Amino acid sequence: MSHASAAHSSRSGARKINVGISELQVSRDTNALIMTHALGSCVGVAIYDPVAHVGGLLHAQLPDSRVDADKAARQPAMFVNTGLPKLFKDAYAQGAQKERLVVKIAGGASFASGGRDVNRIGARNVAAVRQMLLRNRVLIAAAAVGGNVPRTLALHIGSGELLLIDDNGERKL
Amino acid sequence: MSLDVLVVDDSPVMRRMVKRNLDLTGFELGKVREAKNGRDALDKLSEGVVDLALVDVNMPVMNGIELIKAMKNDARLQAVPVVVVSSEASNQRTAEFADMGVGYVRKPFTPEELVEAIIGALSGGDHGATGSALAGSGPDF
Amino acid sequence: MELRDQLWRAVARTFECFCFLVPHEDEQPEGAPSYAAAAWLPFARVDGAEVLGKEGSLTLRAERELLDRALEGMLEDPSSSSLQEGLGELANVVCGQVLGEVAPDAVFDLGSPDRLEGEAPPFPLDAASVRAELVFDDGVIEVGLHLPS
Repeated sequence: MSHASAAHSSRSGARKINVGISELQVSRDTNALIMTHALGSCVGVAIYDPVAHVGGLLHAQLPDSRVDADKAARQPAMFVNTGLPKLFKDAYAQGAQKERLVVKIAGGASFASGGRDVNRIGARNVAAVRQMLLRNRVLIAAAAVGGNVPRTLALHIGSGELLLIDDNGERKL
Repeated sequence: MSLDVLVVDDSPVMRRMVKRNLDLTGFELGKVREAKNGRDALDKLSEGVVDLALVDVNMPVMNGIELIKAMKNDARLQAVPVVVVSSEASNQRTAEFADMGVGYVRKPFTPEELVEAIIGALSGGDHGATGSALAGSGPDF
Repeated sequence: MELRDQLWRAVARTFECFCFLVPHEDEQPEGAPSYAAAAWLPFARVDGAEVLGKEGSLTLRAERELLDRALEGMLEDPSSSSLQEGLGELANVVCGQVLGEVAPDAVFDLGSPDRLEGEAPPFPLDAASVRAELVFDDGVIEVGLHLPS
């Protein structure tokens, strides 16, 4: 079963909001299902306020915007250090409160070409997320990171349920 | 109800790292004191009992194992919840910690691992822990 | 896994977890690194299975910029802690990791890390030593395990 159809079957009727690579979305539509596919070395961060029913998903590609400040200004979700603050602030703007937010992460896989993953972007993305969350006094409630499989995340805004889909199937994170 | 804590480690850097993570438990913290070895810890504890002790193993003068044994043999201190925070990794020592009834977190630890061990050690008591992840605004969000 | 790989992995895990720094995989330093600080940590087996002999030491040497970044990752405000103190604690953690993996059925006492001021001495390369270098974006770390007996 493909990742897309697996998520569809478990949340039929939901309004799907797709988050592409280097994008983020926040919603308080309780009928919405925010999804992001093919998290490889990219890192996905899902946040959810169970009281306000506000949630968001970030699909960041690189750890640090200093490599391209112009790009970061136009597309902050591309980088962890600019995307993560925007994810949280957009959620606050929709009524989320920081102390209620549940934060989960997935991705940061390694796809060695020719057996080598010299730059280890996946691990760096995860390290960047962890560092920034710690600096901002946020703990991670669940994580599915590393390895060498692509992952899909689907966050249902009504329930806060976060589905993780990978080569092993579908499970709640 | 606020938590008085004693952080015992001969490394000032590690004491600061542990204190940084204490903030994340969601507990209200009272006095957080430091000690640089087991002897120093017992001196501090004679000034006042704490609600939680975070203890390293390898320390000069008196190591963490000796400190825990001394605490367990002291009626005033034996009920203090202890979490060992150590680079110690032998099977034998890990089993010893379990036998002594203390929590254990191995360095290097993630904040989540330390917080979980602290909450576990305190779960017998009622300290109003929210268990929630977030506490206060940060530099970025 | 070879001892050298275990040494490499112990440093990588420690720096990734505590300092949020990820080393490049399979890369050697370009040119000779300029180490600004070193920590030397003795250990002695006190109990359990004899795998690594009676005693040994671990040395960690780091380039300045990398050590600055490492301390920033470990502490909110690293200014009041010396680089040497930070490196000493990292050596302690790495040592525990390595010994735990290579000889999990032995119990070791780790000494307090000796912080070597000034220019870091050259690592004693001899038959009883295993050495690895890790290349990060901000510099190089050299780790050595010395097992004389």
